[in-house]
Amino acid sequence: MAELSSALPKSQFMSKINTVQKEKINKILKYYPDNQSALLPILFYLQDENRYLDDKVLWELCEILDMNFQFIKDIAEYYVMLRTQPVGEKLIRICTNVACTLRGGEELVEYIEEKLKIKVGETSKDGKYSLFTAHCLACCDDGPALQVNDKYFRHISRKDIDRLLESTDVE
Amino acid sequence: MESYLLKNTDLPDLKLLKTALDLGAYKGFLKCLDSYRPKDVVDEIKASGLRGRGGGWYSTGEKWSSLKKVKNKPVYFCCNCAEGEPGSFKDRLIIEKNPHLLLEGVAIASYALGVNTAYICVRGEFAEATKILKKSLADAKTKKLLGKNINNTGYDLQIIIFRTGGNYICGEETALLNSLEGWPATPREKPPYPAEAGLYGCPTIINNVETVSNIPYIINNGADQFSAIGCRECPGNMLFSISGHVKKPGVYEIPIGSFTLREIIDRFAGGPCNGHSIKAVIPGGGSSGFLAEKELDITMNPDSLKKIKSSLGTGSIIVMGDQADIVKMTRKLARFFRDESCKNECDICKKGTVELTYHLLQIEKGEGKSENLRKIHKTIEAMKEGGICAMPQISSSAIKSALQRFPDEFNNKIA
Repeated sequence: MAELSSALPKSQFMSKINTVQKEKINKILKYYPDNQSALLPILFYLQDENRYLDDKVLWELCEILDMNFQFIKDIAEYYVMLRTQPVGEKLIRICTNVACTLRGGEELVEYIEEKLKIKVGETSKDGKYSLFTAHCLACCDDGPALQVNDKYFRHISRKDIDRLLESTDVE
Repeated sequence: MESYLLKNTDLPDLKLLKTALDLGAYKGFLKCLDSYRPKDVVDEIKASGLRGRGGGWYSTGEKWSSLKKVKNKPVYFCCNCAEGEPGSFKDRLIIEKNPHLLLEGVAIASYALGVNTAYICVRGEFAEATKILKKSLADAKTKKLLGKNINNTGYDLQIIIFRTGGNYICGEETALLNSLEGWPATPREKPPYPAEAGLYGCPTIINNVETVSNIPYIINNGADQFSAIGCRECPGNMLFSISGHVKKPGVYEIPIGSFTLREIIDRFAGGPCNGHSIKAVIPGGGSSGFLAEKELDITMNPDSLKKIKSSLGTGSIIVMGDQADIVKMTRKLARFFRDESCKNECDICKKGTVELTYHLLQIEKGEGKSENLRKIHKTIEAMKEGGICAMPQISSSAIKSALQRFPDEFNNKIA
């Protein structure tokens, strides 16, 4: 252990879940009859805080909740809205289901891939964008639709995508 | 044609409690607390003939009556807003535009069923809707319309807003319960039904957002007035989500059984896009499968669609013009079912949906042979057997409906 601690920067040993976050976790726990039921809301909260669910965070969480690490990790990997891998500052989720495809959604996926020089599931080199496809975002009347960090963008065209990718603000 | 689900939703302020109260929100709930016994509410809903709008079309009153209370165990109510059916966007609209209608419906249902803790399970992707709902809930609590000792009557109702993990299967009611308990969203074997042993093994009733949103109208106006709307077998209005190749896509509130599918597309959604005709229509969301143009004169009620082996489902109409590639759309649906199968329970669902997607993709790419088509038919037959939930059956019958109605589209792509 001594050897390891000298090899790693100090920050590696700092807690990944801070006091404020621990308080929030305790608050969430109060709403549910057992720790496991609060797991999903807590994972959502920690993901919002860290953009993804790092193994170190999950290890600490399993201590707090007294749950098995692998169980927590499996849950984080099972649900589509949770992420266990790093993602870009802006997470694009584009619908490729029937209704949006009828309105040209599929070509837009290719267009974004070309523009960002990444494939679906990847993050751009500058770490700014990650691209995912989604199954029906319940925005079929305004298709093609996509979400950037949970915010809807409707009736998307190539021009809109140019504008979206040029804007510097991060939601 | 009276609208009561979308009424006043053109007002952006309807989200605000004050505006909602001015327009009559929570009146039905307070009426219940004041002068109805819980049993009276159940009887009223039973008498109204309301049927579940989540796709199952089961009688809401019957479902409520099937609740088996157990001594020393709480009763739970869950409102299902895991809306993920391809083509459906009405539940999200209710939450975003008329959150107090939904909350009032949940409150009345909870009172009727003797519930003190209710959950509203909102699909993970609906971040904005969740925010709106949380704010509305907090507002209603400060006015003592929800929460502890509501309106000084001694009735307590805690409503918890739960974000689901986003997977489509969370919409299956027992999968939703597993998800609420912190398990993967895999459907449970039935029986026992949730009304007997649901959340934490306690009796639980699960109703869809739109179903719940019908309840305040029934209480305010009486079961008789409600059952006079729409058709006898299935009264009330329904929110139809219309998308695809139409001039005016959107959500329309229409009495059930009063119009044919063609009339709904033409009169409400403005008909097919200019210069195009209709080739195919999905009448009730992805899992209802495809109908051909010549079938559009069917009346839109759950029973008539069931007769032709389709389904009114969630009332999500996706219109495909003559420019649509049916093979591609079929493959998209298969891929959807493949990705959204729970993957934990039944081999037939897990493998079947992979097979269907693979062979359909071969055909779509023009690399398919009659062997691929044969394998698709074989897989569909095997999936008919079903599994723990309806997923294998609905996914295979949806794909089958396309093959049956548009055989040439598939045959023409086969070398």
